[in-house]
Amino acid sequence: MSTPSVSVNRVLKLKSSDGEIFEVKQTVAVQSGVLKQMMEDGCTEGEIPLNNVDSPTLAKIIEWCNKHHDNDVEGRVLSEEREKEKEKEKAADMKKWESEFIDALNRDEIYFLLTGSNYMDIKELLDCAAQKVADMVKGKTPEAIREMFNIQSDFTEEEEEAIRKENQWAFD
Amino acid sequence: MASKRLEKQTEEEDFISRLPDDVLAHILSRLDTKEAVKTSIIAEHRRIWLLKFVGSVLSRCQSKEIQDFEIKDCYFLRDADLPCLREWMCFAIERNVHNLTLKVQIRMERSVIRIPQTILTCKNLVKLNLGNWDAVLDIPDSTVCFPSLKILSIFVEYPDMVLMQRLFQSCPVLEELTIDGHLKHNENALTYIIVVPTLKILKVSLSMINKIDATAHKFVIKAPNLEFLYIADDSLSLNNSPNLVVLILKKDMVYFDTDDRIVRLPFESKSLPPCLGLHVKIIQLKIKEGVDDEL
Repeated sequence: MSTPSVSVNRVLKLKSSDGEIFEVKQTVAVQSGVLKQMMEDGCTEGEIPLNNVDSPTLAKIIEWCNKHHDNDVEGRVLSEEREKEKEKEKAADMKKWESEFIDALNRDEIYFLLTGSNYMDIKELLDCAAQKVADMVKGKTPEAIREMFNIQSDFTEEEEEAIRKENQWAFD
Repeated sequence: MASKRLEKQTEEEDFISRLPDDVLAHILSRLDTKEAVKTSIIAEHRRIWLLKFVGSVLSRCQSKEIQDFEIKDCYFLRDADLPCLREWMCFAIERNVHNLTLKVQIRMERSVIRIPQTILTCKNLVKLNLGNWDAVLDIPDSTVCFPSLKILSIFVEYPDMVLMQRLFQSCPVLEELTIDGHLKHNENALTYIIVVPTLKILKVSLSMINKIDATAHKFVIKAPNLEFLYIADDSLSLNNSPNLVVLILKKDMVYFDTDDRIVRLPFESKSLPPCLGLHVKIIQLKIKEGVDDEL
């Protein structure tokens, strides 16, 4: 069987739910808990089907992973102090990149990114997308939240009133 | 374009319904308490939202000691959520809760909840209310548990006699006991023996689902310090309660004779303690139509 170790030059072939093949370096793919486990188990030969992730989403996920991978492997030949400073800068740059990345997505793209990153177990991306949804909800009225996420209320008027009364402090 | 994708996948469900539970939890954990409560109103998925929400609130609690902990209503809960309930109870017990109330309505066939064993040694627990449930708990034989418990309320549907007897016996300082319930069919006739020397107040309200079962159970009370007794039940035998001052009987078959000023209780005469008439100051009869008479 294949070697369990992760090698720099080897690539994985990921197959999206709509049949598109994406090549990803193993060193990039380790950000996915699922792929990492598969590599450790030595079962990444051939195409790896990702049945819950479609191609536009997988492209986004790979873009994210590539960016975060690049960030990790930059050369480190600087003095310790300079390096710390550089780290800070890099972290700030990364934050900026992340927020631009996520802000460019519409509601449905975020949905697929959430489910995709959850399925592939990519914690940082899942955190980032979850934070985005939380930010979207913050400060909104229930009506606005329903509208935003296309949710039909299934409460009767009486039920809704009762819940509001019970939790009055939250609605003030 | 993305919208099309979404529509194709699921036409009925919305954004939040389709998110896996753990993803929802991720989102909720990023909201503050107020925001999370607000989201509970948006739709039926409040069940998941609320469960996660309660979990996230509890996880933020820094307190080492909790005075009151109540889990009430929660009509949206299902069988599958019982582990959450247990977790919440454990949380309260670990923090030395003083008053613990569990009054939840769960849509399930037979409401039985297993109470965490750690409750037995919960040293500050003074008041415990296990409404709406048949509580299941392993109480070791002849062991003193609930060291501080003074007020206990339980609910019975399919009561376990041995468990109940052990429960009452294991409370060394119990003063007030309330037993509510709708008795379902029991194959064997049941006798509940309530032996609690420290007991001052006892309230029993039982209804039968099936009238045929009405004679299938019997309470025997041995509580010499009893001061207040409320009974809404059909079978009772009262032994030696010289301190009893309030007796409330709520049922169809109470006999009341004004000339003799004697209350004929629905007990056989031999089980009626002679001291009862001497000490009881208030006898209230709540007969059928809600007519109250007082002596």
